[in-house]
Formats: sequence, structure tokens, C-alpha cells
Amino acid sequence: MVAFLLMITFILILPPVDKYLDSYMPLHYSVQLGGAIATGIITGLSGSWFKKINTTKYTASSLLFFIGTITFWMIPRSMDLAVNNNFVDTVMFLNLYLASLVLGVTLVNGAFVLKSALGIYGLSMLLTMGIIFTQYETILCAVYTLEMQKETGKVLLILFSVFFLLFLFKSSKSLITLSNRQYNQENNIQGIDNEKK
Amino acid sequence: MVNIFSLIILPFTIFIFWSAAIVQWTGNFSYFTTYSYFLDKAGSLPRNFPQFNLVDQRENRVDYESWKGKYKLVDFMYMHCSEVCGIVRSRLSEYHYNLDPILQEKLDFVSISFDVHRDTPENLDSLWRSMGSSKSWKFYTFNGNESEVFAQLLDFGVYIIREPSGDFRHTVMHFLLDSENRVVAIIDPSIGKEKVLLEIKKEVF
Repeated sequence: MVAFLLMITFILILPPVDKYLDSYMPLHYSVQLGGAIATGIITGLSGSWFKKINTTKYTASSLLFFIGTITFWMIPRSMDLAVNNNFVDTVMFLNLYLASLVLGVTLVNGAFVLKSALGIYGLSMLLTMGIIFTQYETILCAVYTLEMQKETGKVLLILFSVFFLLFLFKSSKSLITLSNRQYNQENNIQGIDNEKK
Repeated sequence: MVNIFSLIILPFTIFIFWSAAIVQWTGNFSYFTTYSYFLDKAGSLPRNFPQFNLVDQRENRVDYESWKGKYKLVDFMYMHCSEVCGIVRSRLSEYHYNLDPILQEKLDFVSISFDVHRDTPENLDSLWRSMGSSKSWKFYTFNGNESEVFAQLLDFGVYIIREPSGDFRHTVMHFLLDSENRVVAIIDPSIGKEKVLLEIKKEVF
């Protein structure tokens, strides 16, 4: 799994693929940037040796690193520089990947509340960017057209809808598991108390 | 000791690093786009309008002395624009032909094309006629080499890049000049008709 994800990451950063994805804004945001973040997080979550690391004390650091990275690279001026300069583009991709990997590793042992909060943060970013890109009449990124900007907004809103449903499903499943566990624990305690009596 | 590092020092360092990077990169949150970066870099307002080498639709060299005495609403465009220029031009036309008489006396419109290869004075003249041949709306084009023109415009704060297709990506802003040819306001046309007119009136009156 990790090898497969690393292969995808490598493909996304290859010059001909990178150039093609950079040229069209919806692809650049959804496939390239989304791909860097997704492969990073999934690699962090699925790497078996990561599970052995005690990451609890690094939760705040990894969160801040991830949020800082995303915030910096989502600034339109940063995006323009990355598309116009191959070196900066590579740095951006690797930075996003690394920040997502570190976040994924932290999430492995993370509490349900933390994962939910991050999910909500990610969804709200998708929704906000989707709305801004579709509604704004001014071009934000100098390297793309207004039409591409609006198309990217629509793509982000579609992604928001898909991930929102997935998030609801996953959260409900986790909540049900948690409450079942709690119910069983309470029942076990009551059973022991009854036996003692 | 390890806990102090991982729980306090490391997160604090990361927070300071990214905060400093973002503050510096955006000029204290003054500019987030490439367009606004170059506008900010061009200097604070009011500032003098550069003496660009322009010719009008009759191939007459621009006379900046004749510009003095009235306010000017300047926009930079090109005729083959498939995107925003047409929309901006039709909005400008709406403002121009519906201005109240007092504002009409004080304000002229100026459209300047940076497409030195295609937007000849003859083409601009056709455009001027199609826009109603108004005496208070002049069209100009640059007289010079494209790279020099773009460099001059970049110093002024107008960012332009040429696409392989022949189209341009460029800053879309209205520059309001006072009666002394100084830029006193930079107005974003996307804020809407009412707000654009309000911004103009704020300076003119």
C-alpha cells in the first residue's frame, strides 16, 4: 500500500505530468494538490512502523505544521510562483506531502475528537474555497483564467459534497462503535457488581 | 524536558515560523495576489501617472498637459481580449453615458491598449466609433516595443503576461487621476457599479 502511494506521489511530480496538471487549474487543485495531501495522509495512516511511534505529544506540532503549510500555499501569489517556477513547484508539492504525512502519522493514534475536528476543518476549507472561486468576479491567480477559476470552484464544491457524505458516514460509524463500547463496559461493570452481591 | 520541547517549544516555533512567513509574504496581509503585490510595490497614493509614450486613435502623440484640469478614469485593456476586457468596457460605457451632468463635466474616460502589435490607431478608432464616439472618452495605444511597454507597466503596478495563445493575463483595475495627473485612487471594477461610482465621487467631490 505504502509503495503504491509513493508511486502515485512520484508520478504526480514527474515533469510531463506536473506540467500538464499545472496548466489547468481544476486539475492542479484537485489532482495534484489534493493528491499530495491525500497520499501523504494515507501513507501516514497506513504505514505499519508509524503505529509504533508515540505521536500524542507531537499532535499540536503536526497540526500547526499542516495548517501553516496549507495556508501559505493556498495564497494566490504562492500558487502563481509555484506554477511559474519548477523549483518552487517541487518545494510546494514536497512540503504539502510531508505536512500531510506527518499529520497522517499523528492521526493514527489520535482521538476521535481530533480526527473529527480535522475533518470539519478540511471540509470547511473545501467549501469556502469552492464558494470564493465560483462567486468571485476577479481573477485571483494570475496564471489562470476566470473561467478556470469558476470551474475549479465547482470541482471543489463537488469534492466537498462527496467528502461530507463520507465524513458523515465515517463519523456515525465511529460514534456507534464508541457508544457500543461504552454500553458494553457499563454492562460488564454492572454484571461484576451483581455477582459480588 | 522532552515534554517541554514537544508540547511547548516545537509547536511555538512552528507557529512563529509560519506566521512570520505568511506576514512577510503578504506584506502584513496587504496583498494576496500577484496583481495586488505589484500594485502595492508601485508605491502609495497619490503618485504621478507616468509619461507613457502613447498615441491616440488619430495617431497623435499624447499631450499630458491637455489632460490636466479634469479627472481621468484610466483602464488598461486590449481589443482581442476574450475574457474580462469586454465586460469591463461595457460597464465603463454604462457609467460614461449615465453619469450625472456635474460629474460628466469633471471626469473623462481613457482606455489604453497595451497590445502594441494588433491594436493600431485605426482599430482603436473603430472601437471608439462603436462605443459612441464620445469626445470625453479617448483611446490610446502604446508606441514602442512590447517588452519595454510591459516593463514600464509593471513599474506602474500593472502586471501583464502573454499566453502562448496570444491572449494576455493582466491587472484589471481602474486608475483615477486627479486634475494634476496624479493617481489618487485604484478601483476594482468587480465591486459593482454603485461602489465604483461612489469611489469616483469620493475623490472628485
